[in-house]
Amino acid sequence: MADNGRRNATRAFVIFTIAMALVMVFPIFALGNRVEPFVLGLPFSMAWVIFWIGVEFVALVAFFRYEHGAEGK
Amino acid sequence: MAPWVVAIIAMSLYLVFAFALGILAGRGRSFYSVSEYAVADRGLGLFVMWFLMGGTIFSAFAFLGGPGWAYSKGAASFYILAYAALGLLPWYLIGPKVARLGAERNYFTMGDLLGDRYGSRAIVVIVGIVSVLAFVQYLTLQIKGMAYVFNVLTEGHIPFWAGALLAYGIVVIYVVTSGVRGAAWSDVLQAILMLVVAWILGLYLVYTLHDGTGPMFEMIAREKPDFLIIGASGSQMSAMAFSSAIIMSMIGFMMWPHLFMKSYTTSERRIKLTVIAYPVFAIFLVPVLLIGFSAIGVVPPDALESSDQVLPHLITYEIGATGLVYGLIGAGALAAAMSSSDAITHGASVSVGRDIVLPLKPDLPESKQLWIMRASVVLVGAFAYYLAIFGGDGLIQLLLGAYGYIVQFAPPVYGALYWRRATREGALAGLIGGVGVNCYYQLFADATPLDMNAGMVALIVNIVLFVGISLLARQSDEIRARNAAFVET
Repeated sequence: MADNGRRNATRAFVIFTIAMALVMVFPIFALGNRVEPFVLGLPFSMAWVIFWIGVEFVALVAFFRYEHGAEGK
Repeated sequence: MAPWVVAIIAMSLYLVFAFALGILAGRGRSFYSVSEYAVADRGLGLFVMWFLMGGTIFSAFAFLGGPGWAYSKGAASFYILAYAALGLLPWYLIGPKVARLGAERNYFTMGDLLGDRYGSRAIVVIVGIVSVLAFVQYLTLQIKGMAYVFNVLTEGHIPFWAGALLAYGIVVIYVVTSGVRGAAWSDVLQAILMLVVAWILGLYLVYTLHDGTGPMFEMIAREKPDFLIIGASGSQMSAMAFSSAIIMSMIGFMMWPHLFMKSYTTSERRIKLTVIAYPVFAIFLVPVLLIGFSAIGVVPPDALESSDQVLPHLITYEIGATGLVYGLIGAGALAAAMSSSDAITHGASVSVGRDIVLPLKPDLPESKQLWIMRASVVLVGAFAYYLAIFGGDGLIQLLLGAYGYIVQFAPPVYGALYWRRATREGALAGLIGGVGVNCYYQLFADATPLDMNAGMVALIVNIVLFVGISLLARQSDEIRARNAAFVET
């Protein structure tokens, strides 16, 4: 695991993947499954999906930095 | 100049660029190496990888089907966003592992990995045949898209057969000459072009027809209160259908052999960086849906034969047919269809060579393998072209539900990578059972249990057979040690 300073976050990544899927499907998606309030002109259900895609991107960057950040540039 | 003439000029310009880029991509590389043709000697750069993987979600579906879904099914189309956002996530974990195994053991396809791990040629051939059939179905849709775009935007001056032949012919040629590099570099041009077109078009339509997204969605919510919600009485998709379709695509996306193969084309670091960039591509799909939503209340439903025509209809009747708009959309839509079909055509050719012909005739020299792959580009291409242009609907019906078949590869693949006790018998039984059940629901049954996605039902059967039969088997110490090597890599 610790070759060339690389850290491993496999278990956390599996949990993250499952969590990302869960917010997009029922029953959790039911929380976002409504029209109002509108967010930036988009219905709440659509904004919900886009919001979580944003969260996903940030989390992925964090995972990569955690795992590979210590490697020599 | 008439708009359709401008459209032809713009589309031809695009085609010339794509062709030149595709051909040049293979220059200075070995023409005679399977490794180069199939996986670019495992050396594709990050920039190209991004567009290669990004281009594949923007198929002809993005310009025709995506707006059609939003227009006719409303909230159900958010499925497309979720799918694009989630599909590549598992690759962050399995991609680097597959890449390491591939480099150590000289794999080029999914079949290579499964055949080696389970010691079974039957599995390789089943995977090969199922993939090629699924590829042909997918290709047929893309080719139809190209033909349709050409025909509509030239106002019928270019017949279906000629438009498709021209656009797809170019794809076939650069895949034959440049292999995966041809597909990858032309995808860079294609992805950038279609993104630009999708955003310009989406925002332009929303603002000219509705004064912005806010007023547009408020109008839709007033007119059709349940349209923007999943599973309500007026909605087009049940909660179960929506959820199971998303889960299925998440498990199945990377099981498409042409995408799985891309694990062998680059390094671990670049695989992970590609996954990171993928949510951005999902956001890029938002304007595609906006195009469809903007047509609500503008295009009456009975004006269309199928909802896929909503974008061409908007262009022709609502925003005034100018040559520039025609040309821009034509080039963007062609780019979308071509960037998926080049990767698929390439994937299919490698599958035929490695997974179908080679296991049946294991002593084939490398040069022959390569010629078989190149020949299958032309053969698979010609077959898909024939189906798309002249094929009866009956034949196409048979091939429906390609995704449901592809997802059946997931248990043996994950089993190979993470489960020591997975056995050949379990994998074979699961594959045959899963493919059979999916086939039954696609062709013979009217409904699935609980309104689940058909592929999902088949996947459950597959997993039960795979795990059950594997657990029953006793393995020798030798095989156990072999399996452990795959899990621990």
